[in-house]
Amino acid sequence: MLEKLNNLDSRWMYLALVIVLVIPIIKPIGMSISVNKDLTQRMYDFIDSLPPGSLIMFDLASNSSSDTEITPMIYAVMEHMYQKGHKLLVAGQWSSGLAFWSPKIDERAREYGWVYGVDYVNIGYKAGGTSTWRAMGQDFWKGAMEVDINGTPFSELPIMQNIRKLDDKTIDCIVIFESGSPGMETWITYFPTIPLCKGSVAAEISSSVRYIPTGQLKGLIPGMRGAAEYEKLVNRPGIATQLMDAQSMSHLLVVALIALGNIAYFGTKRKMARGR
Amino acid sequence: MRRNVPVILTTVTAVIVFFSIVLFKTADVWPGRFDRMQQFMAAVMMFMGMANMTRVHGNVVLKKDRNWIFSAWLLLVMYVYAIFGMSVGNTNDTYRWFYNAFIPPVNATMYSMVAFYLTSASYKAFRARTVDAALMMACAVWVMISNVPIGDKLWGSESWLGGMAGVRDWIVSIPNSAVSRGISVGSTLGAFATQLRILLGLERRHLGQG
Amino acid sequence: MTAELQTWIGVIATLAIFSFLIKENPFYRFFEYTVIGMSAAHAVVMTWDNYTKPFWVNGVMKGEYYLLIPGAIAVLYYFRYAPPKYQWLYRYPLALIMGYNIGYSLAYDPRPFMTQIRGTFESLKDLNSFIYLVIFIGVVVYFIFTFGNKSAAVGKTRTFARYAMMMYFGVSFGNTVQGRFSLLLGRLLFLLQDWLGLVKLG
Repeated sequence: MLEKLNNLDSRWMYLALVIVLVIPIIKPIGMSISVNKDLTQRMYDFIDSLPPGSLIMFDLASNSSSDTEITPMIYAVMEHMYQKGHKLLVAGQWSSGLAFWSPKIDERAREYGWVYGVDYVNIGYKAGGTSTWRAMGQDFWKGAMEVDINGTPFSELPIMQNIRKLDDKTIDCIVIFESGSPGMETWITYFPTIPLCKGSVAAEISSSVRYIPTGQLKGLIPGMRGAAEYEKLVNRPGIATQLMDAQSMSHLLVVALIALGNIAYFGTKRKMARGR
Repeated sequence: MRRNVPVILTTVTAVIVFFSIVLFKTADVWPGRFDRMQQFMAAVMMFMGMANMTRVHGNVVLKKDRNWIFSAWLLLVMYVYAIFGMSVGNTNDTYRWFYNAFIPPVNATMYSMVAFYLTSASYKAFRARTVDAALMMACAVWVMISNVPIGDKLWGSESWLGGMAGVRDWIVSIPNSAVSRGISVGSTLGAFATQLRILLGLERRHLGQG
Repeated sequence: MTAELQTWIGVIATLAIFSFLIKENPFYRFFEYTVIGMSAAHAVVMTWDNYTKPFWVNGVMKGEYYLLIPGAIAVLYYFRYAPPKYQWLYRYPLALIMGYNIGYSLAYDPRPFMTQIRGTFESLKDLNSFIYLVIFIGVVVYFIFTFGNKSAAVGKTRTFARYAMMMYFGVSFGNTVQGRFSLLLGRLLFLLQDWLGLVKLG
């Protein structure tokens, strides 16, 4: 029995995982969650403390593969901005995510009645690494090549008339949605005076939290769980909240498998020792 | 000309850029100019990715290696999509239609497959053989359970120590954060040492010189 | 081209990639190669549209002619793929870029680094901050004395640091599990909601 357990085919585990995930997606229970006071609550409080009409910049430093983690974060933060009356500037250090999230952001903006070029703008992907952002720190228009994602000149966009420099006088907060490098190091290193918040994929949480106590990060949304917490804070439950039950089941399965694997391992070891 | 000049060029550029930043910190002429030049160099180099792909997969096709037909398909797709995209623009409906049909589903599925491997690895490799492994396992299990609503159900956040989530927050904010900071010191000092070696011409591997 | 067709392609692509879990197969490979090609093209298109083309129109053509010099040097980078006789030319733009980045890095990187170090010592006010400091110092000692030191104190500190690092790796693993399962949930939701219409979330 123990040997059988030790040599269990991985494909049975794959099947168990799919079953465990599918059932709560179809029939969610709706368990409540608490809010992480050190990370999510801090970010919410910071954005909440900004005066209405503040300009928040989204940096989409991720690609579409992180859809399920990043999209609910973007929606939740946008909802908060809508409630507070903030304005939005979208940019991206990565080329791959912009094409994916831009239409989603446009769709939400339409729902809020935001006018493109007045309440929000998308300047698209800016290549050239840190040199580009630093150039925007000197002269935003020149550094960003004077056009938005659609090729519209900045001179035709009213919101851009006040955005002349990438600095703390113009941008009230940067929210980076990040799943790798280049990412928040660009802002921490070259623009330390602009308040920075982060929507982080779960795998990056461990290495990001060290920036919280020093104030280099004002707050952080930790993965899909964090997105669910932010949805709770802005009082608009979305996809992250609805998928939390399935997430619970999958984590329970992994913990059960770890326990089972250890029972099988130590059981076999003890049996072999007795046999000797 | 082929070996030493690039090394000298690296050092001279680094020294000029460094001192221009330190000396002209308030004036935005020189550091800004350097950024502008670097920006333009990046713009000119934008086809490097495609050039590399062409070389790697072109070789496979020419040599008729295993799976060469897929490499030929990759090159065809890459050039057709790039030429089409550059002529109609990235916000064109047809361009975006193809993007949304292929790239997000495949990318997301590729990354999500790791979940399956994590599941089987948890069963087969996560063994409490030593104190180190047991500590790692305990923290992993604690974080996994407290990251989901079931953790709040087992030990609520309103109770003693803030419940499972409270203990997790302590682990994440204190030992985890301190280790992360310690590791970052190690890696920053390592990067600094490497930069100095390049600056002094002792490290030349980036120029293809061993 | 309809949204339904797009969904169907997404479904076939998703299932093709998942089929790798059973065994590598041409079905999987077809989608893998298609998306690698498309992704490389997409990076070029985004760069061209949002960066290179407007750079040329709004920068160089409006009088920034000095940029043509670094531009000409950057062209040399393509000699990386030239016949071996001319390949050395690519070293010149690379040398400039390396020098530029090192110069910037030496000037700016110490600032966030020092903020981190200062933060560790500045906030010593309770037991937690002392625990933080002890672990931090332990980990730094671990990396500095990787080789050659046989002192008992260093050995014990390194053991302690190793335990702390194991906790860190455990936390990372736990969080990674959460992240990857989130992505898998997204794919399953796509199949159950967008394709089969069995659920309606969001």
